Amino acid sequence: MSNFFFKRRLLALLLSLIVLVTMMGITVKDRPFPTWPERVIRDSFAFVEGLVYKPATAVAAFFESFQEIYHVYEENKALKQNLQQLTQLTAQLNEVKLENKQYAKLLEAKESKLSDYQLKIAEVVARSPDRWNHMLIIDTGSKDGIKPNMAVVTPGGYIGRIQSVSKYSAQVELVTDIEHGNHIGAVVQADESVYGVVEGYDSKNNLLIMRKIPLQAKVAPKQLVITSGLGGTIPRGLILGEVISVKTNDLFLTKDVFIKPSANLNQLEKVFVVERSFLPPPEIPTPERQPDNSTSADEGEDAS
Amino acid sequence: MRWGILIGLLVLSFILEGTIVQVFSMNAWEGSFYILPRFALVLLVFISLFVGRRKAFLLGVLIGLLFDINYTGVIGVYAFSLALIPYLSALAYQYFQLNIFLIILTVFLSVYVQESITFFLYDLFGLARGHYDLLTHLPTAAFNALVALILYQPITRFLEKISDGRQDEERI
Repeated sequence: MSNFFFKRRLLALLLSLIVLVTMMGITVKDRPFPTWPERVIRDSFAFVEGLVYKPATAVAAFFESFQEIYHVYEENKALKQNLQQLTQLTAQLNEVKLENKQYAKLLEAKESKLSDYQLKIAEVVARSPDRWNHMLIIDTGSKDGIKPNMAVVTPGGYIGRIQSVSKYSAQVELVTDIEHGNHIGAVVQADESVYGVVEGYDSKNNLLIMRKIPLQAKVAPKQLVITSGLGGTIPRGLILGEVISVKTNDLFLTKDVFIKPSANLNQLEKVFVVERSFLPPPEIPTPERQPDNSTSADEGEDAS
Repeated sequence: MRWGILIGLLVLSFILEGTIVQVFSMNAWEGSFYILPRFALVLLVFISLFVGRRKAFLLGVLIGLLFDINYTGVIGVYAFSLALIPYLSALAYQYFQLNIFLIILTVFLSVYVQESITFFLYDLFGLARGHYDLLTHLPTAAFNALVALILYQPITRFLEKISDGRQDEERI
């Protein structure tokens, strides 16, 4: 008799496996707007999690400040130096902006709207506890005008994109989850801007990988990488990180650039959702034929 | 046997995993060494052993669905693993007595197997990064076994109080 039950158990197991794979197959694709029961569950849990997450971060910050008391003096010195540099930089930036305006007038060029955006503040309420879904849940949703694929940043830089939206909450796919096809158009700020796509993540060293960079491109460590504003909802000029190393690809045809993300992904409390006020025409910068052998794609709009 | 209390406990541990533990485990996201909280699974294994494996199965499906809906959007992975693993771990105990070391070992193995199952399921659909490595899940399994050891007394007492004795379920 027990044999019969054993068989029934096995049958149930097989059936449930089939059901599981079908369910996964149906739901595996990117669904920016989940079904209504999912939305209800996500929203209600986001609310409860928000109540728990905020005090926890406060407590964690309190203990951190305890540790930091020892380093305050040195930190203060370093920060003051940084501040001086910052004022210098700001002055330079203003100069450059003015110059830029003058040149634009001379050229009668239209203002590029690639970098126009507004920020919406959002609180993190939870983050995925497993390693295969690097995901945040934030407490703003379609009610606040959040739409799928918007960029999410911290003051440190770009951290991810909105993956799916419910009414009062949304899910953010972190930049470390990039392998799933959430590629980012990026520019390396070298002497000539090098355009490319960030399309990989090296989880061992915590580095983003920008592939298919032409061999002639002059990319070196310490250069900054920003978003290019090409290809969709991410505006131009959000900081991604700085170049750590450049390696020739296994095929010896292109280079891979390794980028250290500038935003700290470990401690996230408040994030900003970037609302792009303008969508660019789907234009791809065509590489200009130049007499010398530099083949970096250069747009007309940023006169470097 | 009170469903409400058990569901409440499980939902609480689910929320803890996503919020407080995430705040305090800063190194969970970088480097080759990481620890993940799996409190819901630990609790489910205990429920399976001390209350009944079919109830644990149903509760596992419920919490697993919560997990899938909240964190992944790919429905089925956690619902399947959180239901199956406690159920199977209780099946093994038809043949020998419960004692604390065996139970902690069971928790350890359960967490390990669950991590592996989720990896292979995600890998099946091309969602997993990297390759399967036998060692990566060891810290997680060890940590959760330790949690189970610390909470062993209160949990078992509580479960024996609310359940009507450990039933040997004849049917599946």
